[in-house]
Amino acid sequence: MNKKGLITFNIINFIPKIIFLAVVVLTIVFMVRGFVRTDVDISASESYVLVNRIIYSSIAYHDESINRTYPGIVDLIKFNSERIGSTIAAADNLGAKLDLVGRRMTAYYNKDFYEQYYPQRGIKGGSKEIKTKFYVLVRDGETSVPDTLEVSVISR
Amino acid sequence: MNFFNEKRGLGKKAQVEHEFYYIIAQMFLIVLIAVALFTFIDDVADQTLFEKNYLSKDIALIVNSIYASPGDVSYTYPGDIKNFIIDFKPGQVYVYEEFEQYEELAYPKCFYSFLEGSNMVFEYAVVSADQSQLKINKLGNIVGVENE
Repeated sequence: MNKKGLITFNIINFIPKIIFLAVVVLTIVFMVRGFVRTDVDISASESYVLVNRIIYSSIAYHDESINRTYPGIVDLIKFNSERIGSTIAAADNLGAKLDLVGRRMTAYYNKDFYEQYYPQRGIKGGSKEIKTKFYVLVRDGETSVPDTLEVSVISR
Repeated sequence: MNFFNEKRGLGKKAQVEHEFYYIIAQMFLIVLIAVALFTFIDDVADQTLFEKNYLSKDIALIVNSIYASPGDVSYTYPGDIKNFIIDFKPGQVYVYEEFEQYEELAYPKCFYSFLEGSNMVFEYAVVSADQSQLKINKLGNIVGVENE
């Protein structure tokens, strides 16, 4: 082979090496980008904080004679969507549904959001649902009756 | 595999020279690629996006928890916020770096929403990066933030 042929041969020989090198470098870059996290999911914690906030303040029974709030005792007068919505500002990423099982009563926090994103629960890119259950006393007038409060929180 | 015929092709000396320059060219390419990769890794390591996102969400969650807690509360945030500015706006916590100055310049915008209580007053403030700790207080129906 003469010099010119040798140079041409070497150049052609180099092309697959360059392609392989490019593939390896791009693989490293994409792998690093793929494993670097830029966000953290706090939807579960946020949901539990919201549930506690609703149960221990918005709908909790308050005895005005001694100025004491009883967490865990649900005041039936306060158990409605308007009351809950008036105590906590509307969120753009959370909605909740509260069910008093025995009484068959339902109240919502951010009802429009809850109903819009409830069908998307569990779908990737959709919403997430957190369900909890509390054993509470329901205060209706002067009587307190045990009941179960089921709370479903949808977050996005 | 010997492609060279001493009678027809390159001589031994030329062969050695050729191989030498070939290796030099490959080493140059390797050094170039290595520098590019290390620069990329260094850049990724210096990114603060995750930290800003984490801080905005953590602080928003803490504000929500303080709203939910009974009585008066004074909470000192244990995280290190030395290099960041925490800006409390209506219903949102913005986090950006000192050199970004105003949140309009910050990209991407790192913020998270917190749920204000309708029967409480939140004193919005900007907490600078000079101090190392953030303090959140709830006194009566007023929630405020300050440097410590």
